[in-house]
Amino acid sequence: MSTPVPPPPPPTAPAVRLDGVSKWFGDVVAVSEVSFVVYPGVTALLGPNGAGKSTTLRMLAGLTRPSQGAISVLGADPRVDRSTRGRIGLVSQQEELFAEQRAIEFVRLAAILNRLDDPDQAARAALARVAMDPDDTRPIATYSKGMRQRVKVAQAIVHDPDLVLMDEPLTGLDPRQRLDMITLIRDLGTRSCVIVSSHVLDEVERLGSNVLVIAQGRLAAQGDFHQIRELMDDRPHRIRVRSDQPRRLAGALLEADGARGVSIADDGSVLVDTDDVDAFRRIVARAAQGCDASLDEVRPLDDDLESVFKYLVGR
Amino acid sequence: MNTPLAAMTARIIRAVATRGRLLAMSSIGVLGLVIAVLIGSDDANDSANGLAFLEEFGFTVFVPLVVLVVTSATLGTFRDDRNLVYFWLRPIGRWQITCAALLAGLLVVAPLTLVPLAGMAAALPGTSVVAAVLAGVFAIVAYGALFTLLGLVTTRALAWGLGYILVWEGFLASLSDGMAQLAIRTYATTILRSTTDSGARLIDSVGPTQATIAVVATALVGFGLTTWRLGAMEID
Repeated sequence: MSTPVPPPPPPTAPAVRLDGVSKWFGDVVAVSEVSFVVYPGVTALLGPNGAGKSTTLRMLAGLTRPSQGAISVLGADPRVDRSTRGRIGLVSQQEELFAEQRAIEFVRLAAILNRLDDPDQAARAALARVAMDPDDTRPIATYSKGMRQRVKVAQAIVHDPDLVLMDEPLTGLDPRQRLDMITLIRDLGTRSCVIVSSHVLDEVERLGSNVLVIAQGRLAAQGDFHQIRELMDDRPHRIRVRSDQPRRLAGALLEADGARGVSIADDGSVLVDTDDVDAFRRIVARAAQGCDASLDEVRPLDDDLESVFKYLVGR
Repeated sequence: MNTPLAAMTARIIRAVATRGRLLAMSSIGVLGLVIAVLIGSDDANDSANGLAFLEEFGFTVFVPLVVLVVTSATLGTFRDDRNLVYFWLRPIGRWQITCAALLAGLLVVAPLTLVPLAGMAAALPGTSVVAAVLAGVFAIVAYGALFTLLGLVTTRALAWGLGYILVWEGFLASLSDGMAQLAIRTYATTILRSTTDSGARLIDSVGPTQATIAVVATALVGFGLTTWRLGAMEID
């Protein structure tokens, strides 16, 4: 299922263009001065929870207006242009579906509202693409989270949209389903523009996509996944080292040129700022040995994704 | 069922016509019928008593209440459940969503109100079944347009709607002719009275023609505002 998918054709016109877009709800700024363009293919919107990813996707779908700035989706404003809405498929994050309906009824309704010639056939094909049984007689209410997620995807792609917006589509899926969904997303990306939001770095890596990093409502970074990954890895790191001889070890570390900065915390541990964690790990062992200090703990303090995003925003 | 309007109407009916809602609303109709039969079987009651019951219970409480409960849910349920997006993000006009909501509401409300109203009119002295049904149609169209909009603009449609029915239509509108002209009940009962033996009007200035115009205007304004609201609102 994870066979490589050929890259999409070279970019032509951007499918999506945001120009200085901000969105605030009362005093809360959800998205701040964001500008980017997205071309056909898979683009991941990466950021921690509450970063503004869902709001950005909702603005792209036309569900909410930007408070400031301009949005162009497939060359038009989806809030006012009816035909553009018919070229968008949205997999929203919320759980709510028409729970008492069967999956085929739900997807067929989407096909009818998109004015497809054969809604029943289209609904069956869409459900089959997400590995759901069109003849399942159970109501959606009885489905697992993963199954509901796949039904949501089916209703979003039933009309072969030019732009597919997916808000955390891998949430609730088991590993096998994730793999299938990633394959489907990459497949969709060969024919249309797919924007997938996620707060999980590994998921984005598997999508093999372009990345837009959003944190605290701002666009923190943009580019190929590997560039973003390098940027994240190259940032300064803070590491806590516990030892029975913290002052002696701190001095040894400074002498060994393995740290940008060293300080002693209130709890007696050594806080080290370094650009290269791997090199530091090699140096700290030698330094401890050289000054006859124990090494009780060596722990990065900012390896979580939240810290990475904060760093990117603060650059 | 393969047109957007028919498909949405069917979907909304299925969401609105829940067993609990249908049972609760039917029971109010049955209660009205029982009381109407009791009034009709008592020789001491004349046509004025019959008409008064139909106006005070049928058109002041029963019809508006049933219409409120059902039609405020037609779009309100989807808005509250955050799945209005499955209608909204499609290449269809907003007016079609409004149309489907009104149609679904009226199709559910009509049997729930018109059948009991006809039964009450048949049982009560001095009232006409045809007039009761006709007045009922006027009432459900006007109230339906109003409460469909209410369900879309507020999550407390039932509370606001009840307040409107009881305070405005039930009380304030009875204080003066001017206020009465701003109450849907006035127009429904005008139709009802136009075919009674006495033909006495509720308000001198409002006859069947004015009532018809007022109801059509209310429906159009409700339709227009609901469609505008659908286009202007932020969708979850």
